[in-house]
Amino acid sequence: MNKLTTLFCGFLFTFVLAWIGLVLVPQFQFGQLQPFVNEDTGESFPPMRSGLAETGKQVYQANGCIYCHSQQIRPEHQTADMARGWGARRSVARDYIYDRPHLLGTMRTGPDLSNAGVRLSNEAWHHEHLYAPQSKSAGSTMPPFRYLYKVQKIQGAGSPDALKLEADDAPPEGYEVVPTPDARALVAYLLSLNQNYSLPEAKLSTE
Amino acid sequence: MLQHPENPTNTFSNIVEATKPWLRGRTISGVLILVGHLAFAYHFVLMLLKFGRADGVGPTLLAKPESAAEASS
Amino acid sequence: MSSEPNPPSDAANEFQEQENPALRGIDYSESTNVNQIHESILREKVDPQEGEEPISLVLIGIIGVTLLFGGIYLGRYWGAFDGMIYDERARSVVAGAATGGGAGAAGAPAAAEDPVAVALKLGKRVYTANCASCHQGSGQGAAGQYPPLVASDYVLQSERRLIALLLHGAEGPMTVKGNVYNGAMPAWEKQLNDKQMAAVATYIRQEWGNNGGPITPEQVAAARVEFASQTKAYNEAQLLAIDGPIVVK
Repeated sequence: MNKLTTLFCGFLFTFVLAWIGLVLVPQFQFGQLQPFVNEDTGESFPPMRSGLAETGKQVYQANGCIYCHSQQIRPEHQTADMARGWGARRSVARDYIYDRPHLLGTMRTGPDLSNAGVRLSNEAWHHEHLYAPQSKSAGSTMPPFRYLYKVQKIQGAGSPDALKLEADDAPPEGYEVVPTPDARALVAYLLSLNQNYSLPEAKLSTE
Repeated sequence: MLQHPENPTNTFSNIVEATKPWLRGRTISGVLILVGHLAFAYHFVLMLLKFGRADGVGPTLLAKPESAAEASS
Repeated sequence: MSSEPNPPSDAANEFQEQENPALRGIDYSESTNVNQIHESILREKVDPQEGEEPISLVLIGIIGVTLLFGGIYLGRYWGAFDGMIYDERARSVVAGAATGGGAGAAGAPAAAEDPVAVALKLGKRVYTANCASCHQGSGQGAAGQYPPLVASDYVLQSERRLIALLLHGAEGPMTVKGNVYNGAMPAWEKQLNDKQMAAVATYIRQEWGNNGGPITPEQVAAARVEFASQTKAYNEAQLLAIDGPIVVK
């Protein structure tokens, strides 16, 4: 083959240039991001998640939620994410420093979840939604996650965590549906999803 | 009436309704691609194990250059 | 090979057994007519060699225009490659950190503006960010799921009831404008501060043809204290039991 050395150098150069642009420069820009500390209140943002919520993040990953739900609010001047009520500001790199791996997602078969803990702060709603999505969201294409729940015989007064279900979704008479530890963790994670704080590089539009 | 997805008066539930035909089509095409993958894998293994008609040369991918020239001239 | 005006002679047939492997397959030996052999060779173009062909001018032009466009775009939008600038429209590095990251900065209120107008602007933003996903930007909600806010008694009547509802949420069946809704309204006590809650309450009472009065942050603060003991969401009966205006002591 002619000029093999030149060809190889060309490949190497292209690859190195791409690596510099996609890996090295972003590492300089974002690699050392620290949380933002509010001097007056001492709060640090983004907030760290509780242990249960961290476990819930594993459950979120294990169930492939990222394939349908994104967790990134895009800029207001280009997209309707904020107008749709999914967030009060766009997402920035600092929002994800505790997320390893980050769960930005690429698809919105279902709505964006960056601020799910802000606009859907009711724990029972999440359990009922995971068990029977169409009962909470008409026309939803989300599959039910029933294996995260247990149908058990009601004993005594019944469990306080039993889901309140309607008609077709309700278990047979004498039975109740309770969440497994995985479901509790997952809902704790969903309730922790919150980008409703201002950062110097991105201020909330509601301030 | 369906509007541009970035028009916020177009509710998310409208958008979900609108994507349903596309989701069905995506399922069908995924099944077709899966069938194609399985057929490909099956025939690839057969080729490596040299199954198939035993007429002289065999698959071009695995033929040696001289035997290819002999067969053509 | 196509036309053969001169059939190959016996002498030529010997040449078919070609020793030189580079010429195998090329039937120069089919004809002994020198001109014909030369013609077939002359028809072949010269093999291109690297480094000897000039680049087409059109290609140079296209690359030049692309570089020009790229350079102008980069100059306008590079933001010095600063990792903290998130709005590519930011014009200078210094201003970048202040104006970057959204339209919020554009809404900075002027010094002496009507407080209700300011509250309405903030209220609309709070509503869009928190309430619109369920109650919709039009305030109409969704049939069977989210009640409307347009001409709703819960919005327009008792201010005390409205703020209690916003603070702690509601659960269970509720009748709004003749329809029953069995949803779960989240509690906003922790998510919204007094100013934001007053702003959004003012907004929903004055938008979409509603003509309720404004609500001040002081009223929200007083209601927060009054209903501090409530830990769960209200049900309809409890909500309807709350009535009257908010009294700021």
